Amino acid sequence: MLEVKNISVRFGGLMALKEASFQVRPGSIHALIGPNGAGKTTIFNVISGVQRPDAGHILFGGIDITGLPLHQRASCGMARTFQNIRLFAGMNVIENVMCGMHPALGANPLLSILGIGKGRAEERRCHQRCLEILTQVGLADLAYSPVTALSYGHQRRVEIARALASGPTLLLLDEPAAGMNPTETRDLARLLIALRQRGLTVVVVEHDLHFVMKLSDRITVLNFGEVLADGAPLAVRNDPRVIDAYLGSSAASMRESA
Amino acid sequence: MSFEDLWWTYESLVLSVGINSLLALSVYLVLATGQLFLAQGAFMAIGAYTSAMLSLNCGLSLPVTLVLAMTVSGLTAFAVCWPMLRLSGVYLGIATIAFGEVLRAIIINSEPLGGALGLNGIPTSASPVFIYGCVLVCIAGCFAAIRSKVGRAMEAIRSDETAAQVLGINVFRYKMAIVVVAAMIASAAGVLNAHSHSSISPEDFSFEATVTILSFAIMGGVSSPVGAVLGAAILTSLPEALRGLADYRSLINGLIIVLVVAFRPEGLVSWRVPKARRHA
Amino acid sequence: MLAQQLLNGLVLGTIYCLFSIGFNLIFGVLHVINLVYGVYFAMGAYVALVLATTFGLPFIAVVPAVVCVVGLIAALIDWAVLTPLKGREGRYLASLIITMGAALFLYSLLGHAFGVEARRFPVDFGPSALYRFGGVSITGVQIAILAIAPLVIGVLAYFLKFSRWGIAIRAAADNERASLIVGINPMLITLGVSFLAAALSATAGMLIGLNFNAVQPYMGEFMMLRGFAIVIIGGLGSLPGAAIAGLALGIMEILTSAYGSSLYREVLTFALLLLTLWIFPNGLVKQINARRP
Repeated sequence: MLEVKNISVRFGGLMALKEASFQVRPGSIHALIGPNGAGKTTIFNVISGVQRPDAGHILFGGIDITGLPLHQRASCGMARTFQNIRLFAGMNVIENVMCGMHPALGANPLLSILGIGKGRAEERRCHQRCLEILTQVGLADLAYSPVTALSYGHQRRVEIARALASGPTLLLLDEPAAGMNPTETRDLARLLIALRQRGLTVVVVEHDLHFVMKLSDRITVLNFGEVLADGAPLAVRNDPRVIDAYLGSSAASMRESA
Repeated sequence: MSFEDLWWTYESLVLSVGINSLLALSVYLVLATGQLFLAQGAFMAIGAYTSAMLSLNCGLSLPVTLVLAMTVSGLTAFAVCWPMLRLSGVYLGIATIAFGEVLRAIIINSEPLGGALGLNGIPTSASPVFIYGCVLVCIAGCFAAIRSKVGRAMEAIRSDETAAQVLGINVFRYKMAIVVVAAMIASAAGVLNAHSHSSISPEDFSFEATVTILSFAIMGGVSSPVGAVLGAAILTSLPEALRGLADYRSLINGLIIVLVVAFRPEGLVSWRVPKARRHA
Repeated sequence: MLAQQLLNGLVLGTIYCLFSIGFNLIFGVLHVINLVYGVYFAMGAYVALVLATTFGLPFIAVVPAVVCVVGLIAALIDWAVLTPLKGREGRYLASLIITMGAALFLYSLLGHAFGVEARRFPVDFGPSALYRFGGVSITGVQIAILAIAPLVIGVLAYFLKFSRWGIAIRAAADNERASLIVGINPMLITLGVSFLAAALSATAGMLIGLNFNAVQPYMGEFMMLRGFAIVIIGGLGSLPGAAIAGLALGIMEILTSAYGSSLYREVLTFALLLLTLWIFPNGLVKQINARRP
């Protein structure tokens, strides 16, 4: 499905990623964990094309997409959210989600502007489809609210809905549970499981280890830009190197979640 | 006072409001995609000179020269802006200003274009109906665009370019298209201006002209085309309404830009146009 | 002939150099693009004109007086125009637009106060001698420019490098909060930088007004556009870059107008700017990439 091969990224003198490699299996929930500054977001940026790697390759569905322009990755079936929510503040909820569907709208822009023929039909279909997605994530009531008026948890869900709108096969979520209350986190977990059931592959960067251990099929642990461990949650949790990296309170919380 | 007298007094003002509305819409479009594109004066000049030369030398009628001038501007914008659109923010601003200055220097030094004196005796064939017809078409076009996927893409690019790209929006292609359309609208304004004043000179298209055009959109607000048009109408008629202030036009325009940016950054009109049609 | 043109180019380049260093000082420390800066160029010439004609001050007294008067006015104007932008998102664009408006206002104010036609200095004002060395002639004003400009730049460099204030200003350029750590009020830094930069701009304006013996309000706008182009070619925020690009462009401009046509001179700077941006979309100097506008 997704293969990260020997990716290295350098920021000035700092190696943010050192030959990081791992594979994501289709239809799985794959978690990326690691201490702050381990390179989790950097690897997301490399996969989604926001960051050019200095070395290494990204294979998606067996095709090398390392050099593919940013905007073409969405049409390959890849979608992501951001750690710091990046919704378009000038638009309401459904318009934001409709933006996510953009690459799937193939009609001549002139027809869409004039609202005739294929353009009109497509706009209508897009609106319908986005309402369905919002219903799926439980935000149908808020479809016409400005995104700035929404709570933090709701904003995260709008971002996920926007990512889903392009109909991706791979969904990259950067700390989706950050800042959520326990109820919201539980809803999120339920949503991710539902998505997996429909065949979607999900990669999550997450700090909440409890959340990750329960949910994911496979975990990759990053530390100082290197892959420290990679495997099933149980195996990873008992890996002495991982426990080492999480020394102190984190190690305790790691055992707690066992 | 009879209608004829009134019209006679205010005809040039009415025409200027229409022409400046077109310019404001041109600025609105580029600002709505978050680009500081400051070559409105240059494209106005391209339109004005193309149309003037065509009507003076070939005797073509206004609608024909308008279409030809807009085509020339569109193609020029395409060629010139291709390398420029990689530039961000301030760099794009200064590059477009530089383009305007180079173009103006070329016109000043060109014999056939009348040099620093400009061109005279251009047929004044731009009727108010024709001008306002163009304005209405542009406003309607802007609104229709905003309420389609194009408007959503523009707003996405304006508010977060990277996020827009991640969502699969071809940012470069949209920016390019918007710049070409904006250049064509600016050149249409240049054409209509030339054909309502009968004479043009390089001074009409200086950096100051571009700043004045920018002030229309800044004053009115760039959240909707209505704001831009309103800004143009107010700033064009204000010096006329306060007769004694006609000499202080630049002074007032400058002061308004400062006050608006300082105290009301969103402009006079902050009205959000829905970025989709309702399909209830 | 060539030697004469090189000398003229050197003089013009020195003026560009003075002007661009000040512009970049503002950008580097305050992180704003200040187009009012061109107004101070014209203002320097006008203040010198008033001091010379109305008060009959000699050249030697006019120079420091211009620096102080325009510096103070500039500190006041910059404070009024730039304070509302504090902490606002997209400060570069907002600063560009607001200072564009302020510049439009101030130019036309100058135009209303002094008229738009060129004004001239009194005949006996300033150094007026003409010296010849072989085939090269040099005016007293040109000597004054070549003497005063390096002096001003030298004093500025010394100040920035060694004084406590200069160190605070350089610290603020790297990190806006750093000046707080040094114990200097950021507000004073803002005012100080405005003063220093405007002093450079006003000196340049006064000297060029004297050189051509013509003072016009829009000389500032002309210089501003050119100066903006020069600092981008030299690298936004880089003082040595601005100095080198200013000097080089002054010489190149004079040479092209001497051996080419005036058209080439007009377009040279902007053509070079477009070329620079075409090759280096983020400007020539790498260091500023980290916080490009």
